[in-house]
Amino acid sequence: MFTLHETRGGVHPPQLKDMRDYACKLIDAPKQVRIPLNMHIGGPCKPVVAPGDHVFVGTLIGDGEGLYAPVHASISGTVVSTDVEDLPTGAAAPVVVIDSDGKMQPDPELKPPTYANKDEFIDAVRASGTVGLGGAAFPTWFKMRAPEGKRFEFLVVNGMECEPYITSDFRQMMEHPDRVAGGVHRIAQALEIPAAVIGVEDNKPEAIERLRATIAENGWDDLVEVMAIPTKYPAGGEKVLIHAATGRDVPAGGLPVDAGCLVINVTTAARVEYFCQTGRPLVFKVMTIAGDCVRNPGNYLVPIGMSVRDIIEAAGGLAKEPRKIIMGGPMMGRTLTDIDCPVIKANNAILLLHDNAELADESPCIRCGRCMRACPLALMPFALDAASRRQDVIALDEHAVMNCMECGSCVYACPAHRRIVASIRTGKAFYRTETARLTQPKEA
Amino acid sequence: MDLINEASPHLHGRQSTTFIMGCVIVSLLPTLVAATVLYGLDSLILVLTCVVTAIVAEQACCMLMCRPTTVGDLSCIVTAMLLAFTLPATCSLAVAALGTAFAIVVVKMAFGGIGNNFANPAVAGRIFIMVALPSALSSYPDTVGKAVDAVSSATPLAMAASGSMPYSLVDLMVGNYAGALGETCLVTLLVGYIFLLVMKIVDGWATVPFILTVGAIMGLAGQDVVFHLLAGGLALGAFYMVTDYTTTPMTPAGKIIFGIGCGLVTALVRLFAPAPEGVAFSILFMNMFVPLIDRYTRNQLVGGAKHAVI
Repeated sequence: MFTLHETRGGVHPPQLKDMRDYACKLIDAPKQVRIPLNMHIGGPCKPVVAPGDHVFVGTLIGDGEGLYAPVHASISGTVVSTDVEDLPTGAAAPVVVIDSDGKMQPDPELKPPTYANKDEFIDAVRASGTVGLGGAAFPTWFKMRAPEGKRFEFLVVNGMECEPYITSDFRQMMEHPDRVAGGVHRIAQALEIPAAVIGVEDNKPEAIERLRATIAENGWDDLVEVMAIPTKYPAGGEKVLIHAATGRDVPAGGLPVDAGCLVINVTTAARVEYFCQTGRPLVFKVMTIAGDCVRNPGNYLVPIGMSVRDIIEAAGGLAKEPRKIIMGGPMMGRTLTDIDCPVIKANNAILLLHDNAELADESPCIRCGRCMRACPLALMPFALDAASRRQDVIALDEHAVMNCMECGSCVYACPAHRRIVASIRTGKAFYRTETARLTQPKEA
Repeated sequence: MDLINEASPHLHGRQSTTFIMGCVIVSLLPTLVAATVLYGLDSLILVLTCVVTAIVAEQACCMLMCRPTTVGDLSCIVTAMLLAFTLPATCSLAVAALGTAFAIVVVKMAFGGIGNNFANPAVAGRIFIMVALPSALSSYPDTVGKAVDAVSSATPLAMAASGSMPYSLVDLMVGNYAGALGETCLVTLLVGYIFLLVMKIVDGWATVPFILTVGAIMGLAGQDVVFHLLAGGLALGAFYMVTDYTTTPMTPAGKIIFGIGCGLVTALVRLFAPAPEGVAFSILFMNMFVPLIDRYTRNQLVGGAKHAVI
């Protein structure tokens, strides 16, 4: 059904996936979790519990409306606060602080959902609190509703995990191939999508084999297939994966549905399947804890809202003082300066680096064109870099600054070590305000 | 805990500007050895003079402009070597130094330094000498093996223009004839170019069309095609000048147009102009069109673009 299409650009950073053979370990539960209610794209949830309330694992603590995903308690215990706090991301949102009772009791009222049609299935996915777990944190249920006049022809499942270091999706595929493949099959069936493909980078042959065997055993091969895709960064970028699997391109400013695709991550599919089987919502997340500073690196099952400090503690503490802490992978992750900040749904790795933390200084662009050849979207990063720095809105528009997905391939390829992504981000912000200003109707 | 806070990505590739320029210098070394063998120690001294001048000039410019020094990226050494390669071994050291200083100070640093120069500094420096001090380039020494006292004689292209052709194919390949010190030995130039190709530092998008265009036009004009491809500065120009990053177009399509343009101008100069050599002129001429070519040979964006209506 699916054939592999060649994709443009890309780079080959070192894999650094030393944690690939470390089985997932349940981390020792913390004494306290701090769960922000804005762990998704969209408006923050409102707390539905009050200080003093007792909650179980999986109890609903935050709900909202519109574009949102509900939030559930990740440990059992007592709510101590639901105040609005400033978060390290720069946003302010309510944070539900729960003190553990040490029991980790699941909510007795949780039961598998029942659904009879597409809408009820989407409601069930919403109730599970699932968001895009590849890192984008877009509410999954919202994505599943194809807009009027559009439909999903393909379900593209992202098992690429092309970022260096991270192995959490890989462990998911290795340890729960039935949940991954079953979730994909269930979603394709429920949403009436005629074909689904799980794209996995060919540096994970064990995962490909295991998924294929599971699919064959359960007779899911009428709907689901697994595609081995050549390893390169960012082969797991949504647009890049869609092109590799279907040969289609998402139009600029459009969504995957404009190319007839619904794209979800393997872990997202596994979480949906787990919820449909057990009724337990998304409150734990597999995270790869790696880098040269942590004593017991590995893949840990972490309750959402646990602080980075507690996680480091539970992972054996620090062997060296880190110079840089990255939430996520080294290509797109963000640095952390406050280790008391909680982990959220979309986090999939914490990297604590000492030795390779400092990067070379930038030097002038020599117009070698390596950034342009590395760009998976055929942008001209050197031109965007220059236009952003001189705040040239016309050039930013001509070179389609908003197309950039900030994958970082250009910076990786740049011999002058130019911080192209950083300047494109400021360029985008400038472009947004400037186009809004220039296009608003003149006052009389 | 004092933690670094910066934007992604947090991994950089291992290549650097210094590494790239270092590779180019290494690729030029065989030709430098060949030049020393062919034209004597004078060539080595000339090259060293240019290199030292370039380093001093660039450092002085950086200090005058109160900017961090850029000598460490080695690009000024590449410029100096390429410029020296286009000069006769007997060229006066003062003239060579003046040309190099012009290339670095006026062509490169005055426009903002590495990456901002509009013309290839080595080519512009060579043309500066040709125009301002033509007597310095009026004679080219013969190779050491042929004339021990290095009597100057006409270059093959000058001879061809006057109708005689005394050199064999082998002579043309190894550079055993009178000419600029780094332009004649094709074998070593080719070795250097292939090294750069293997290291993925240069490509052939401009080089191949350049050479093919010169060959095609010379063929159509009834000239000796092989001779015109092997003699003169075509190899140095095609391998090292039109593969310069800053002064050539970015995309393959742009590079092809640039290469064809260079070939066209080179052939026209060789056929019709009083000067026998056209490579340097053609490259300088085409350098002027790079922004225009870049503008019309942009990449096809994946997924197109959604432009704001301003």
